[in-house]
Amino acid sequence: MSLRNIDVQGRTVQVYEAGSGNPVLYLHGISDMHGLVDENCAFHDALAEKFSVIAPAMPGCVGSDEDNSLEGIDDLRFHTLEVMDTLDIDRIDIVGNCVGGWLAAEIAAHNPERVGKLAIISAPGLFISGEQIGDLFMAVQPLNGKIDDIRHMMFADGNGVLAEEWIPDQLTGKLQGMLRYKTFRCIARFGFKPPYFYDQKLIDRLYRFKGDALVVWGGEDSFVPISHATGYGEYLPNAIIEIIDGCGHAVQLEAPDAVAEKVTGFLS
Amino acid sequence: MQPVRMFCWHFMAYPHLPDDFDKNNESGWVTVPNKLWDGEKSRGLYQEYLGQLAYADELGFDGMVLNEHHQNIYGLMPSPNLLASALTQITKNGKIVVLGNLPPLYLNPLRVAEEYAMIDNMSNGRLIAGFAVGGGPEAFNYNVPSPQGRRRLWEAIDLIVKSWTDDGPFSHEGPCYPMRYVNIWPKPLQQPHPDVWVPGSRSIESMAEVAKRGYCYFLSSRSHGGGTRMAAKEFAGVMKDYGKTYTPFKMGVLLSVYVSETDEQARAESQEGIFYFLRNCLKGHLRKEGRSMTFGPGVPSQSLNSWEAFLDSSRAAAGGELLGDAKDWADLESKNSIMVGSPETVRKKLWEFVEDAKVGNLLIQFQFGNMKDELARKSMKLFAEEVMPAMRRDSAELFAKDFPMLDEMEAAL
Repeated sequence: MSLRNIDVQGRTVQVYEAGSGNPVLYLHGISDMHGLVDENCAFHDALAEKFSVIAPAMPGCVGSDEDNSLEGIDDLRFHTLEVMDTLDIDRIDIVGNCVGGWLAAEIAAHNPERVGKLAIISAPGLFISGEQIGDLFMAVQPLNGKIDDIRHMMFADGNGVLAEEWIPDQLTGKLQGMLRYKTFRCIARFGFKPPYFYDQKLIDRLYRFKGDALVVWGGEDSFVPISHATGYGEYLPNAIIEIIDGCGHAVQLEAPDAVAEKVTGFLS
Repeated sequence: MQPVRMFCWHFMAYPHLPDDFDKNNESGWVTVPNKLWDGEKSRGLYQEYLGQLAYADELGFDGMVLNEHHQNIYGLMPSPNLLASALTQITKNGKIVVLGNLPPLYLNPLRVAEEYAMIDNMSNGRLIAGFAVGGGPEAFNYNVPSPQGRRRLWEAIDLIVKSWTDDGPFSHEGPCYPMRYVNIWPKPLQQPHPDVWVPGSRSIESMAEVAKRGYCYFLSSRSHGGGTRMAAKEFAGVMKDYGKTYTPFKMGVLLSVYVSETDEQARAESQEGIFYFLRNCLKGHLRKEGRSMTFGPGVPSQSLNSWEAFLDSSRAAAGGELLGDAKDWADLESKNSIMVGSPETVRKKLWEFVEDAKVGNLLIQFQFGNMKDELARKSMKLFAEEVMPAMRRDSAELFAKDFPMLDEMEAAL
């Protein structure tokens, strides 16, 4: 495992690398490595047992520079293509979790030639009428000093140990406080204003990605409704959907082995 | 020598909430159900509030202050310019301070340039033009991604001021608001342009932007004398870094005052309105109880450096205690955020503040929450007659002693 900083058009991007084998680009989410924590989790370790995992941190997350020109998902897609250029990645299998899954789907639709296989986990990004993506920004603002709402949005068991450990009411230290703030400041740049965590036109562009796709979802995701898994599954031409029962949005934390099994099986 | 300037500030709160509002609602902002609006009870409300501001003008205040808030019960001024426009017709002397319009909420900031220019002409040159980024609730209401607010604010301010000072038509190439034709009619009356005030809550980044343009910095977080003195010192330092000279009139501060005949009477008359303001109006804004919307990762407008400084601060260590968290009257008094008492008491408290902070623009809230018209007016009148004259006299002396360059600057004008 290693962490290094690369220079992408003058911006520092922190990149995590681990494992060996076929390379896989991992695009992170919120309750994830490079998001609310600065280290790899069980799911990433399982992935790295089979593949060479390359995981850049989004602008402003952990050691990556903020990018004030980032104003929407297109900018993030362009940034990520520049990261790939810098790493000499022409075409690669991509695994994207949460907002990273949305980003992966955008790259696949716009630049299908850069993507081998596509695996997305609990990804926002689609507009499905009447099936709103949750307001994460309101949910993270304390209600009577507590942020139960975001724990329930992220985890099937919002009162459970995992939820408490990942998103406690009181920040256990400055590092955790900064990681939370940086992650939300990053995602606010492309997820806050309408469209709220979606790109209205994405669903009708997904047909452009003809490769194999895997859609993994927690059966009780209350940030991105499960109907969005169906949306991705139907509009990506060669997709299979895997629902992990009893899990919420942070399915790769709640069931790391099950998710890793689906993803590694799909990529192998 | 110019004395301290005293302005009458109004929030225009919604005063007809049910008694159990606090118990049944998590916020007075954004999600506060508007079925609580009582149209019949609210008939004449704007007239009452405007009447208080017109009365401030009659009483000799240096000006009247309006502000912009949306979808809330704290301040019924989604468009302060409409009220400023009314004030141009019912007041004669005082400055009309709009503090401020929120340009990041608008697609085209030239609308603000135009309306301010109209108000300046309609008031015969009495506008003070304020601009603010908007708080967390406004981000939710108007879909402004918080990290982009400040960039939009400063591009808008610079464009607006340029539209007032430079002959048009010219084009503007900024990334947020590119314009082919900037050529506003009317231009403002005041030359080169109305004074510009910008609020901040002590972040160095905001102070620097204000200082380098020579505008007036308005400290929007209610602070006691010591906190305000620190802020004034920081701002003076930043101004010096940009080759400018600090004077007390380069800074303003928000205060809250209630005056009555005696201390006991002042407390008895004001506490209902003050606690309505603290419990209901500040819920969702400056109170831990309820849904906090003003500050935090969900509305991340502070830079990473500012957030880091916050995490290091005593406020974070205290669990983020805020004005609206005052438990009772004694707790409120100890916070020293609201000055309540007889003319003598308020004179003493206010003088301590001015002597300590040496800030030249005092923006004073007299009406709180559901406070009755006659009480707000009585407090304003007692203040104007029994506090204001002494403040003017003593502060002129103080400023003459501490800021001798003010005379030279006045002479140069």
